[in-house]
Amino acid sequence: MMDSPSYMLSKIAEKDNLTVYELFFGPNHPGMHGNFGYVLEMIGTEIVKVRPNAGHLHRGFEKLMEQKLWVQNIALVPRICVADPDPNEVAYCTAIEKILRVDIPDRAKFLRTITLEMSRLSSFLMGMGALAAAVGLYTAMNIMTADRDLILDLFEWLTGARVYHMFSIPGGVRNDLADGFVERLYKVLDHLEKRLIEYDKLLFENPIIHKRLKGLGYVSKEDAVKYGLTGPNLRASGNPYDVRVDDPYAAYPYLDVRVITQEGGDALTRAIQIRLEFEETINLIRRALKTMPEGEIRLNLGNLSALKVPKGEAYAKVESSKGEFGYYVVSDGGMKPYRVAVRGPSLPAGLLLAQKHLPKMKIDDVAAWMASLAICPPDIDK
Amino acid sequence: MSLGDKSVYSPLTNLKNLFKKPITVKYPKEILKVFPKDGVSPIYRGLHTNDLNKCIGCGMCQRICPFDAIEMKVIGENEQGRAIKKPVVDYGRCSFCGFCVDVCPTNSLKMSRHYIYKVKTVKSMSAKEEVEHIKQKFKLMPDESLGDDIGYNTGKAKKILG
Repeated sequence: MMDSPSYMLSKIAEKDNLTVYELFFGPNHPGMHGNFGYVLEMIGTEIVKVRPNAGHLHRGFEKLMEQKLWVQNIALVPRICVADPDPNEVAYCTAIEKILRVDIPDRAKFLRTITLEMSRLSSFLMGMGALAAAVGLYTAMNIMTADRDLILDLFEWLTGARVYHMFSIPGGVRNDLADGFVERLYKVLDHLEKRLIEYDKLLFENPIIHKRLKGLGYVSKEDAVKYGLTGPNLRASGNPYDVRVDDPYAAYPYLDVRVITQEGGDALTRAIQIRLEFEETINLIRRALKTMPEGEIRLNLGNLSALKVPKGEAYAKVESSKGEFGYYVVSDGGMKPYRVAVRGPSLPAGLLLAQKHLPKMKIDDVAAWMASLAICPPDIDK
Repeated sequence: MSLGDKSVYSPLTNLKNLFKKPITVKYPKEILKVFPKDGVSPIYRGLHTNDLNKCIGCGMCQRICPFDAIEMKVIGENEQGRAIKKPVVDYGRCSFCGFCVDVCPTNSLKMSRHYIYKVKTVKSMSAKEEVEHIKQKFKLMPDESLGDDIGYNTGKAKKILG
């Protein structure tokens, strides 16, 4: 330890009286996930103070949504989370349907559920890959990125686009399943299940991961609730809360969702949580495909390009791979939303928890800490 | 830690790559060989294609477009002296959401399975001229057609919008 570079650096800093210097971690840092940054005040390699530096994402989603028609916003909302776009579409459409007081057909609910779970798979693969890359295991990241592409191919067959699907619209979904889609999906699910053994060997049983992540960013059971963490991060601290079970939407009331919780609350537990939920998601898609009913895929709401939503307000929440996505939609009875407020899952961890965890942390651990909490900056900058 | 039981000679299997053709391609020349159209989804939302005989120039596509990518261009006059307008799609703005296809009342506007759009630049152009040139060329004009390979379209199915 005595001759390690970080120790030497802090010694030099002490000797030369260079007490505190500023380091911009992001937006142009390879360990940063998007247009976001932390201004770190450091002594040597140890962080003293952290200042989140948001505002690089220029879109201003919430304000922009007030200037577009109800249906036009569907092309905009998926951009709030690039890795996991479908929860945004479903939450926005569910909020509109709540104000309209309509119930969509069962088949549409199942189709939405399948896209949501496929999106969760692709996002988990990206998240695990980011975690692997943050500690230098690029082989795992490359394999996971290649496997994610198989799911993107399936999305292309189902919706016509690879990344931003724009699949849900108020009243249902846009397309029915394509010919041969179900067989292709089963094939990919089998492939991913086989791959899990390889992921375990490469990543989750790897001593490097265990050494780097054990004890990093510990969140206690009470703190997780206090800071407003949701999703896998909350469940990894021992709180059995899942929106799919506690406030079910889409087809989740018909499906038996198993909530996985773990005690522990550190970065390693969160990494293993994602891996366990990945396996459960594969089984959930299989169950959804088996129980999917036939029927209509869309409710006739008249001309959607001239859709007028009656006066009212609604909140809809959806469990994404990172946590709870909530849309609070207010309508004044016009052609455009009066106000849309987005609750992103990364905001509490990225802004508040960072102030608590990052001080006294070494600079090498920041990227791994961010990847373990699945911080996706566009939710912060909406 | 090992990934299964592999032979000690397993690194030699890489030698077979010496006799294979490279995966990388010379992009503009080999484009069709590498990206076979069969791989693209039958409902792929690619570049637009417009049937000018069917298109009535109503401008619904322009009105629904979330990103203001469609502009109605006057291409002539009819017998009554009224302007005939057809849509021009600017791919610098288009997000390929496909709402213009959903809203089209005559089903003339469709999306093709083509997804590669290349603009030839002239070497003698200055940097400023080149930007303007690409801006103008990066659009689907009414006289261009990609009608042979249709992807996303509402067709005979029930209309989604409108």
